Amino acid sequence: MSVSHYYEVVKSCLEERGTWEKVIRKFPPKALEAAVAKILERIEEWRADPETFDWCVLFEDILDYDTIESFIQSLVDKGYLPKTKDEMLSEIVSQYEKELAELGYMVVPKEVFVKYVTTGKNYEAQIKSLKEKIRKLEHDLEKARRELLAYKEGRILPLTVYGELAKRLEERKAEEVKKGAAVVEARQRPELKAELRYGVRPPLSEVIARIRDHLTRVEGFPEVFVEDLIEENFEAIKVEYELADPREVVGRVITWIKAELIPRLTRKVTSGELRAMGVEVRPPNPVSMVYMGRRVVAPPPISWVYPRFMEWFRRWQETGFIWNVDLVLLHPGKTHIIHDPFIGTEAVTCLVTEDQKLMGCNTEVLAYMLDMDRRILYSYRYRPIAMLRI
Amino acid sequence: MGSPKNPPPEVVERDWQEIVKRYERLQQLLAELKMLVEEIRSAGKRVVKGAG
Repeated sequence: MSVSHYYEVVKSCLEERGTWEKVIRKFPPKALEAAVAKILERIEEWRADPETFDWCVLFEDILDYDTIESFIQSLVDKGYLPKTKDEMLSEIVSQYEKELAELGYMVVPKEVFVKYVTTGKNYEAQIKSLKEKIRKLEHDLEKARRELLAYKEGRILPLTVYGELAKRLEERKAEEVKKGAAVVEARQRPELKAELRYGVRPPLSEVIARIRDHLTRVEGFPEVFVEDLIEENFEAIKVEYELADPREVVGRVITWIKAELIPRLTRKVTSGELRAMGVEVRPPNPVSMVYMGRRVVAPPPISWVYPRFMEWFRRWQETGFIWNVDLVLLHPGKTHIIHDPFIGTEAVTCLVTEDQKLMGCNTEVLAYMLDMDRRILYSYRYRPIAMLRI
Repeated sequence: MGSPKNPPPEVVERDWQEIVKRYERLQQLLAELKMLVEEIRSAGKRVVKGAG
């Protein structure tokens, strides 16, 4: 995706939030394009997928900064954007230099050491603490060396950096969702009611907010599914929105989602249907997902997939480039879990090359295990933002 | 006999020797790390140069 594409994404986000005019007065289009280009450069330097970044969130505070440089630096500081490889390497070195210098001040020369270990309350405790410090540094330095060596040889991206980043992005997104819900709640829609009374069509963003609000209240409907559903069906929602009577637009779109979309999305396609559609159904090969810090082994055979995955299967098969697509369930093992209508959304879909190397996984990964009453027993959610081509 | 706060000099000497040895090993590890970082940087530059 190009700079112009993400420029448009940012523009439409800021328009929806009503800040575009202000932003454009402060930063001319060329400067904004430069900001998008710089962000893309950082993302692509790690071969991460720009689609996995929330561009609306990235640009939401741009008005707080006077220059594009300070704006981008703030994104890095907040953990929304990765450091460049060069920045990261410098940081690793300077961190250990500092720690070693601090240790050096305590142990060399001998007089300093003697003073240090004998001024405390207990000599043994001082020595023990020094040794512990050294042991930790040895361990950390060895680990950093191993990781950098693996990175140099093209085997991994430094996981620690990405693990942290993914975590912060998730936290930020959760805050965003909470904030959005609070705004919706606070409004109580008096304006919307007034608009409906006078026959004025509410803005699409308002309708989307209502849909989101509605879906998060549907019992048993996984929250992660809500955003996916809106995103993937955005065009269809827009058509419904435009066709509906202005006075009934929200109700009509929600009714349509309930009657059409949810049943379609949660219907299971059996292995027989899959074969008829030309999709190879076979036990998937285990995919080692070291890049996500978790290893997935021994997944069960695929007996069905959701229709929403069919499009991906087809597209990948049509390209001819990827011939081997595995659908891997993170928590296999119990029949009632495998057959849960929502489990398909909880899968990691990975592209795997002919020689079984991981090419990439879908951008949003949610794993959870349900009990017989469909209560979540265990869950975690993350974005595999560092997709390596190996 | 030394007290917990002031142990015998030979004990302090032995501990100091051990700690300094390990400290030097840490410095060596850091030097190796820096070398590795330089190698990664120069490899990156070569790639950029080649791509251009």
